Amino acid sequence: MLKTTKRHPSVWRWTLMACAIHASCAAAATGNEFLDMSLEELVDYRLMSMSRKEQRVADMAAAAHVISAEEIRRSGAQSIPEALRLVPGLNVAQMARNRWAVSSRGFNERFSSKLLVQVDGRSVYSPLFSGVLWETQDLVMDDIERIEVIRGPGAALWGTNAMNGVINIVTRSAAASQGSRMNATLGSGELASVSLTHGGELAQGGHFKVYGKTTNLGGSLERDSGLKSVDTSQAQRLGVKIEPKVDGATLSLKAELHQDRSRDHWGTPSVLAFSDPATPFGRYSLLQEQAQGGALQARYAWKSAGGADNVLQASIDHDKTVHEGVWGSGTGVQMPLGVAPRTVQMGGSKTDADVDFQQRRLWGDHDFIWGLNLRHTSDNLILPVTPYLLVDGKSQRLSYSAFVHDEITWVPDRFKLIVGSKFEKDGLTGFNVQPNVRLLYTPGQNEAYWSALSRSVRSSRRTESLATLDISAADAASLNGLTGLNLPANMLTAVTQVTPLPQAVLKAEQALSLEAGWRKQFSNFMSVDVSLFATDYSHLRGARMHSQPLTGLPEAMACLAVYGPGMCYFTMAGYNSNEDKARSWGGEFSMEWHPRAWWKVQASYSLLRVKGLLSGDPLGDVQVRAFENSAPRHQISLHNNFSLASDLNLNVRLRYNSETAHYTLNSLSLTRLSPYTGLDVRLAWQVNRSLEVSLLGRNLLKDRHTEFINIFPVTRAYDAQRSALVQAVVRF
Amino acid sequence: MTFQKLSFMDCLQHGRVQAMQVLRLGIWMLVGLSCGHAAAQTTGQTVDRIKAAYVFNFAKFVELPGADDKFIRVCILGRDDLNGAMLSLNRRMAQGREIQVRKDVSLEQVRDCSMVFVGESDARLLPVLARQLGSASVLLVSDARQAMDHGAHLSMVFNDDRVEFDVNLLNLQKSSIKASSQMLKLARVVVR
Repeated sequence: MLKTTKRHPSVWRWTLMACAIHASCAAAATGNEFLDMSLEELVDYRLMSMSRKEQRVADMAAAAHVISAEEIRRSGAQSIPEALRLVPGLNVAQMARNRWAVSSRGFNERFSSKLLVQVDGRSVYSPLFSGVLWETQDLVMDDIERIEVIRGPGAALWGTNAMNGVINIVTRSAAASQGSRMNATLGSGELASVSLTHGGELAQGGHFKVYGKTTNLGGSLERDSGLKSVDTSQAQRLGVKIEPKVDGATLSLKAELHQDRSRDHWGTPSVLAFSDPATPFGRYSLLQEQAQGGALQARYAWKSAGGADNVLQASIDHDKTVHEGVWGSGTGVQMPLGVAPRTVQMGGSKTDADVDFQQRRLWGDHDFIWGLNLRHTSDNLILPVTPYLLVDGKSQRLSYSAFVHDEITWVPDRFKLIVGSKFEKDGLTGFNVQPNVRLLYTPGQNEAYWSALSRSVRSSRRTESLATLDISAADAASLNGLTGLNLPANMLTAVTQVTPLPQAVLKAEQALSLEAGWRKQFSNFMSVDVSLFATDYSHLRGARMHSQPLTGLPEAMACLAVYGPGMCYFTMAGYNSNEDKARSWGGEFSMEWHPRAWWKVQASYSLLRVKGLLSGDPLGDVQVRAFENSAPRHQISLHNNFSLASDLNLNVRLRYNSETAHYTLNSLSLTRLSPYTGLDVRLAWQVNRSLEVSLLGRNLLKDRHTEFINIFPVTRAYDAQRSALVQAVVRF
Repeated sequence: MTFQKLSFMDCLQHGRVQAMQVLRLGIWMLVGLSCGHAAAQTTGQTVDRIKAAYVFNFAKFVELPGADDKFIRVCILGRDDLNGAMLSLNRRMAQGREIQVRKDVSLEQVRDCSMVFVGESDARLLPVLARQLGSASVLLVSDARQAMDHGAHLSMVFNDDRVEFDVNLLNLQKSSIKASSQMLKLARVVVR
């Protein structure tokens, strides 16, 4: 076995510290902490840019994890969410073939609002519901250099919405993508995908690459019937990255276009006359989704004469999503008479222009970073009918922010204190301060303890704060006790409707998080990472019933007399609130072990408890119970990778999720989803230097199982099913 | 500059903590003055230092010729010394021998080296160098793309978020150089 050379701590400390300040001088290069690393350590050493500077994961005072390209490749992940399953503690639930719900530390939903996701430093989210539409992020998987994940708040650096986690997807540089590569995949369920990447050198110096991908997916299995649905999807992506050679600086330009088409059944509470026969007071519509988008991005990094590192990044991106179909809940302008659902287009478009600057300086014991950000957003949300109605969907707003981050070496080689804050003027919720303080204690080179206290906020979505939403519909006869009437069944519909209060002030959700962690590298072959957290949430978005919720009952009775049973409705009126509170606590444990040079084991366990404060309000409590149960309490994963021979690789991944519970359309009780265990196996054969062929089996233990049911928007529940695929990667 | 360089060397050699503490002030003062472009570690610099660490490990795990020689001569052909990172190997010990890093080595002198390093920006020198070396037992290491195809024995590749290394066993055998099997297991690609 290889051994590391004996270390001289004090020498190491000083050389490293001087290096940090003086790295570009040849003299300082005399101190090279990597020289004391063994070959194994060097091979496994990963760079991470999550703290807005490159840093070892082992030195971060946060629950950080990096997935490398190699791990993604070995896992056979076909999409970003699949790759995110490799991160201990993240909850990744498959809703359908191409739709996912991903969250960190609870509050899982399709549009996880408390998780910030970036691709190459640019935030990606859907204009419609302000969450990540994972199906529109069909990246070339071979082109991903690494995925950096921080569980827990990252708001002090990354700003609003980085409340429970930050995911940064970094794609390969053009310089690292030279030559051509084709990846072709065929699999069960009409999976067909081809991607092509070509990189070359620029005539005037520097590198470029072009890449493209097209994916086709067949329908998912419906949970209720077990039959194959029509929710097929196609996605295409085309991009170019150019890195011209610039003296004394690096410049990177990126342009990308994507389009996605898919179909899905969306559900809505409905006035009885327009509801489906199978689901009285509810109807499902087949919606065609079309999304297009493009982004231009430039990043310029240079050193100023004073010795500071500067990065200037600018981007402009445009996204448009349209859902088309026969849609509507039947409520609307003719109240109390229902309006028949009609063919509508809903969705939205968004254009963001963003400029971000940061500078890093080292002063004595201080490693100081500051930055400025300016973002202009103009969006147009088109939500023409209930259940999701927004009257004036156009908006323009300017957000600006600044951050400071100081890493202070308190006791050299032992204690580091990190203080920082983001100061942000958000276009929707006003001025927010998001500070954090972190402490890192490193008793030895291979061990670190850390703790952190952070305050973070989440800006509400316009849909959830400004729109009128139909939450549920029920037979008015079931409310006879409340209405004082004696209506027979199926006469009138009672629709629970939430509208914004006039002059309501939009408040951001707030969280105060306390975290602690421990990392230790026992040897070259074994390392352990533990983190614990407790978070206190306030001003959570929810809803409340008005004190006199019955609205339009006499009119509905009159309507009933004229139009007959089923056509008319009244509302149970509620309003958008910002009053809910919750606490969450839990921890994540992960371990990496190399029993043999050819065998690698990664095991993890995570525990999560979310406890909301019940207000006694029926609407508020539904929301609280929904988020309390949205993510599993226990998650266990066991990954084994065997390098069987120099050309064969076997990857076996087992994951267990405990039960979750979700509301379904018009239900007053939660639908429990049983715990499940998934087994994914991939066998890859490196035929020669330029060809790799692999076989991948997913969810091998069971024909089908349900992982998630989404309630906002309500969509039909689908199952994840056993599947197999074959993949060939050719380099030429 | 010289003062600082010497002080570091001294400390690395002997680990004299007291000397370091005395020098601490001096170092801090020099930091601001001596090097106009001094800056934080950028990815590029870290990568260069990791590559240098690889070269150091290669010196430890490859049976270099001239085992009775007191020195391992690591020569840098061309101007690319990994932004100075290669110099950090100077006077380090490997296999009981002291490493001497030599810069500005000419093509004619390379046969006197135990190991030759050719950086990415001097990649054009590789084919010429390989011809010059022939089957001489001199380890040829490079971080140039396609270094393997141009006669290098070992190459370092910065892909993704890490630096890995490739081994060309055919070329090693041609030059009668042995690499440890443990090292081969950790390589990204072994050309056999």
